[in-house]
Amino acid sequence: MIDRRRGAAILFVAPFLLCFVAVTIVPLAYAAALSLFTEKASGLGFGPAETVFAGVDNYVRALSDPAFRGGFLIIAAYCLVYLPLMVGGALVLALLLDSAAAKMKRLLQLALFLPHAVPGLIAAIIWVYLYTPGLSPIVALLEWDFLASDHVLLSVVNIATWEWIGYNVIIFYAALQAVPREILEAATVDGARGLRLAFAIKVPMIRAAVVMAGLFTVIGAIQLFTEPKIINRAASTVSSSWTPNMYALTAAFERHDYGLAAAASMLIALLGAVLSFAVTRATARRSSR
Amino acid sequence: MTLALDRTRTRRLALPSVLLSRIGVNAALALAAVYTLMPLLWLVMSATKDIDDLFGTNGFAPGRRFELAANLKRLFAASDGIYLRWLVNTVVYAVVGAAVAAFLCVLAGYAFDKLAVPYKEKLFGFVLLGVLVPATATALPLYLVAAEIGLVNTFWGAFLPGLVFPFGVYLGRVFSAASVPGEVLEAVRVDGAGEWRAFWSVAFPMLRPGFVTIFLFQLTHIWNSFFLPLVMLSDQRLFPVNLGLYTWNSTAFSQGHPEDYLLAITGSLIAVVPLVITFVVLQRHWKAGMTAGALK
Amino acid sequence: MMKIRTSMAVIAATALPLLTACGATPPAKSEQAAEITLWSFVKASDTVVKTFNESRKGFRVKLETVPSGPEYYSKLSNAVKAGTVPDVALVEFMRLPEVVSTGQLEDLTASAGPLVAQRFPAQVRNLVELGQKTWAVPRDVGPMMLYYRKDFFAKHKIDVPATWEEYREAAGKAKKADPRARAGVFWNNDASVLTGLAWQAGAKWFRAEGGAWRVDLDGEPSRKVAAYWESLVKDDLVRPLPALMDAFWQSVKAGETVAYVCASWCAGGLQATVPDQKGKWALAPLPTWDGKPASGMYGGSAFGVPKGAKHAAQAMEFIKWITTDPEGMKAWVSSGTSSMFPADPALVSVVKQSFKTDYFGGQDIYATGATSYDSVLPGWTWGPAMGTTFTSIIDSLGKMQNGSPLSGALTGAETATVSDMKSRGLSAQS
Repeated sequence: MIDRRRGAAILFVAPFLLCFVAVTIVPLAYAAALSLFTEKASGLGFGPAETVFAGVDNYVRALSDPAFRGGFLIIAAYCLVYLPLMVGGALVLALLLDSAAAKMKRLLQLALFLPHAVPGLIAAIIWVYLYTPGLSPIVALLEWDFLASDHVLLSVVNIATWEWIGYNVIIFYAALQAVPREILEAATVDGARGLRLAFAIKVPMIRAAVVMAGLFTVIGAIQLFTEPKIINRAASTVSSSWTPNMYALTAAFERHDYGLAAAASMLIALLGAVLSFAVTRATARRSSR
Repeated sequence: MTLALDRTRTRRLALPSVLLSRIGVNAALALAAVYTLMPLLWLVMSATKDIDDLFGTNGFAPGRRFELAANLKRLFAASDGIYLRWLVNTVVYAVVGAAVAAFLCVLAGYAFDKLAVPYKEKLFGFVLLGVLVPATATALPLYLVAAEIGLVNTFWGAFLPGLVFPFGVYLGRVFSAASVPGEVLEAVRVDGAGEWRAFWSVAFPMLRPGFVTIFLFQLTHIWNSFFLPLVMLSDQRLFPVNLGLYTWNSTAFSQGHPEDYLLAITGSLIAVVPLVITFVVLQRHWKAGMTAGALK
Repeated sequence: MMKIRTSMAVIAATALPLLTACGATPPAKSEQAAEITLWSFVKASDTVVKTFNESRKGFRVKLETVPSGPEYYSKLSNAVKAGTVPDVALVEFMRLPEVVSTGQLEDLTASAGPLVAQRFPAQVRNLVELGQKTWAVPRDVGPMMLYYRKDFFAKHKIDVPATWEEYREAAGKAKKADPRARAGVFWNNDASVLTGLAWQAGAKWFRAEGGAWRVDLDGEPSRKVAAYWESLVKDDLVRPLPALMDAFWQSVKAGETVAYVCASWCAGGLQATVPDQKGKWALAPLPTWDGKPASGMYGGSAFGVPKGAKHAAQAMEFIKWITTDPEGMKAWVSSGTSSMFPADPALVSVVKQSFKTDYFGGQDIYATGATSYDSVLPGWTWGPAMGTTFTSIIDSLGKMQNGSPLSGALTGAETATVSDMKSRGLSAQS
């Protein structure tokens, strides 16, 4: 009996795991291997190149490149602006939606969510247009150069926020809807209303959802690529190695340095793993207390 | 439905706060909606203009001429109607791919939650690591692996990667824990049902909102994916719509064919519509799914 | 209703082959294939392929349209690594040494060497013959010229500049005549025009000497060019804009750009994008430093055979047809809107007939193109790491806003390029 159920368990998990190994693990292992080799040509380079073992050379090169390290600083600055804006903004909007005063909730949710259904590439076309001085009605209205070097970070944050805020609002709102009615009633009886009800009672109830959204926002930030790449095409104030992921891609496709690209990618994945491990660990400890 | 109404009613009575005045709340929400909708308005407006008005008139206002019909006609006629083919491809890649992916996720998530999977937690952690791997890190190796087995520039090369969604397994497990009571399964098992029957006829119906949620997550993901199809496919007849639009957009001005830019804009608008409709139609399901997912 | 039914039928018709084609790997291993593949992103490729397929017996060509830009070269290099190459691939001149030095092209010396030597002038031969081998056959070239609004220049009595000194004056006059108008553009997201201008000034950024690359991005001529354009930007005489993107076209449309430096092929784009300025534009040879005719190149492309291609002989036959056969060349420009300038001077007359010149008020722009092509300085070679070189320059263009000098961008790009080349094992010195 037990054996049969064990067999079923394996059969249930196997299809996913097989695909997972084929599509993610095998290529990842390949990338890990790739990161240990480098291609060497000689002279003018018009003869054949050979692949030589480089050990940790590619990792050293990536880490000692100021452009690569600078990318992490950009990410840190980006997180500093984006994380509170996204999580805080989504939370506030969700609370507003959840408040009794809000009208047309379904329509509003849909309106907020809509940008998420727009493919990144199409978002690119739209935003580059809206950021371009001379073309954009917004630039003229705000007298703000979105593409100036001091502003691009915010412009990137804006695109990401536009694409993702509705998504987080829906998650938070769904969580708020699931908060047991009795608890809210009890709190109201105790005299909690408005802001206090929202922040002292409701927010703690959906903490898990908030932490989760925050975690994914950070993981997404580490892998930041599409939005700055979009701006990079239109304005050089976002450099080709602005974020670590862009660095990896430039290394692979502009410099044909696959070893370096693979090493950089492994480092990015490693940082992501460490960070999310730390976050889950910290939140797990807090909730078990 | 009645429950929801009841809830609104009780809250409305309980919240006559000064600060959260009705006007303030709705104004803030309306402002947020304007923010999310304005860029889309630009897309809609631009798709109705000719190239002259596109550069010559305000992006949020209608042009001097209304050219939507002409633009659509040109869109579907371009390169012997390749656009329609791209749309069909995208639907196959995204809808079929996401459906299979969501099913695999629910199946695995359910097993992780309810069944005795060997090395359960270790295996689960291993799957979650997949969430962290940047797609750009695997795109190139994936391509090389695909080339080894002859899948480059084939339907399968672009389709198979869409079947894997590690985060979906996590969601599947959460949904299973939240919406499939263990006792029900025990009861079915006592009745002598096999594990597959227990899953298919008892657990899966309960997991349907979760399935829809995961399906939609993956649907947008595949619909959005660009880089992998770019390296994987060279035959235009296999392109998803995203990649086709990119081709038009990237050559429009550099090749001196600005009308392609209009094609890209009109094509973008048309490509967004099915996705929006899907979300609207399935609204109730995915919202239910997210509620269940957010409980944990 | 009728429409809906047709589209359903189309869906069914398109979905079926898609499903049956699943997983089919290309078998073709025989030397003489019925069909060869072409990768191209230049316009009219479909017409050319169609014409070829109709006119020839023996084999057909299948066109795979690829996106342009850096993505294309990564796709090509992936395909070479994976052994999934097409038989013929388009390569722009500026990327050719990079593509060759990363082992992505077959050596065509035996099959195309004599043809290239016989048909093409030195300044373009130099771009496809590297290390004494021939790697590709040129299709079109992009000699740089000055585009200007004839009506605006005439109305405000501005002379068409022949030297860069006069150009500065002309730009000043244009701005004075109309405060919104600028007689020039500085591409702020593209380095190739700047490179072409350095080429025109006599710079030689890359030289292959005795088995080693000599890299010289910030030599005297390049510095002169950088300082000149920087001062034009600083004095607000030219406007920084992204190259040939919407913002630029908007400024042309609004009459805010009344002159700009571009290649011969830009004419087609101009007349298609800004049709209402028909008859107002004209072309002049590029202003020069010393008054003697000189030009550089912006763009231009060639066709080569990727490493590992299975049907090299047929590929070569096709390449010959599309680059040096009058019929092939006619197919490129049959749409009547392409202002492409053929690399083979013997074919200029063929192309000329098909381009309607009324947009340029009947001016014989191919004559201006031909003199510009003649005056392109010979001896220029593109480098084997142009991706790095351009990326580095463009990244620094973004910093110009904060006051970093343009010549510094060139020095920085030189350092980055040399170190990149060295890390690939190439012999390089600055």
